[in-house]
Amino acid sequence: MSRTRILGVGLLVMVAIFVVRLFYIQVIKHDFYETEAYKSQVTKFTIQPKRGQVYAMDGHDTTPLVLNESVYTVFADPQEVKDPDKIARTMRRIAGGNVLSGFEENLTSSKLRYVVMARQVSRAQAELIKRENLSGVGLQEAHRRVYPEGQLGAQMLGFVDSEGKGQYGLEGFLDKRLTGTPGQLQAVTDVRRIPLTIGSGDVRQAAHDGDDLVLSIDRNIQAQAEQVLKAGLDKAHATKGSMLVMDPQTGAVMAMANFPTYDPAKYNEVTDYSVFQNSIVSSPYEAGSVLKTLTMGAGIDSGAVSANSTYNNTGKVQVDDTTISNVEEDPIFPNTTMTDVLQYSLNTGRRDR
Amino acid sequence: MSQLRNTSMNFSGRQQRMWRRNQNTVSFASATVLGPVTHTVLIALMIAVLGLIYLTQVTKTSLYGYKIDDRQTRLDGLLADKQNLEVENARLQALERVKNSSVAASMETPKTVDYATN
Repeated sequence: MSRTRILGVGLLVMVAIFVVRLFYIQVIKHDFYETEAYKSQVTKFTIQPKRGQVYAMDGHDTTPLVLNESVYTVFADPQEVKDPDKIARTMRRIAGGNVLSGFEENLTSSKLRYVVMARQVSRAQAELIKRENLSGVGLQEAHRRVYPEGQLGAQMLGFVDSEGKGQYGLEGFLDKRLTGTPGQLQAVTDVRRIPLTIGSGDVRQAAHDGDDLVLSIDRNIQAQAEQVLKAGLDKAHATKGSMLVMDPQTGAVMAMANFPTYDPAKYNEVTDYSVFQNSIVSSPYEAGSVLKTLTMGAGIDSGAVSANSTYNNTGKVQVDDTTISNVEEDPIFPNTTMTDVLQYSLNTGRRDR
Repeated sequence: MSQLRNTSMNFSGRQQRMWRRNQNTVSFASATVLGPVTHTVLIALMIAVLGLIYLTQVTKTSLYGYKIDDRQTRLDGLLADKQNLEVENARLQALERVKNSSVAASMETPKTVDYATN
């Protein structure tokens, strides 16, 4: 066999090995490598929904009580940072009050990949930082709950904690409705994680934002109720109280005031957690004789009795096998008026009429 | 390089049928002859060119992803601006701010209040 022929056979064998190997990779293991490639190319994004906002009435118009605001977390990747001094100076100049202490030391770290430099930075500040084009610096958007009316209706509204979960009040009770449903985006991305419009396996599911709420609460009545409640508690030297204002025709709640109160935007500064409770709905209270005022009001409103209507008060009355008697010592006389019923809190007055 | 050949000497029988009287016929025969290897190389080159054309078309569609991302970023920015303006508007109209404003400070509390009822 000539050497040329041997070389030719050798080349043929090498080519055959390549062909067989390629066949094995591209045909037999096709699904496996396709899945591996898909895993590295495709990125899943979660689209966060916007939390629902809360509005109150202002006469016939609506006015916002709880809104959302875009805030940003400024972070740096020390491995990408080229000028840490410039970054530190820029951050102090633009986001001064929001910067975290001691971040400058971490900017030169060779081990860290994520250093938070400032939190809760406003959009305007974020735009200024972005314009500086600082190498290795990024911005992460977040949303913050805003309460433009401050402490107004704090217990009724509740607050949202640092994990985005509603706590107490409406924020807690209707947390699921206010939160909404996250969406999903699954697509082939480039090295910067920007979705590309290629690939038939893209998944796009829009987020469902949370429901906005419009309450029957009237802002002006609420403010006045809180003012009156505070004045009343000061006068009575009381430490705690609640006030509820309702529309007697429809039963709509127009004001729900509690004292002491707090600022929902600064819930983390509260030391006594009992202040978060809306006592009107969360603290059971046996109304007792207070209910007589409602019954009397209903009677007068319906025309069943008037202020001067009278009845024969004998001190007790029999209902089936139960005897209802007056608790307090009352002046027993035949022509007891409805005013007397309220003045002496007469249980017999309620039954007879 | 081509050369004219006298087809009267070299034409085939088929050509003879198509050939009429007083009609000059010539055939060009190139001196350059492409062998099988050259043909293969040419075909491979054409396939490569077709592949490049395909790649450019596919890349073009993926570029739309960048345009979409750019538009989405701008939209998100505008929505965030709108939201922040709503917040600022609400803050400016807040009851406490209005009560403590210079306009309210120059107002007087009425001594008596009467309500007009129907």
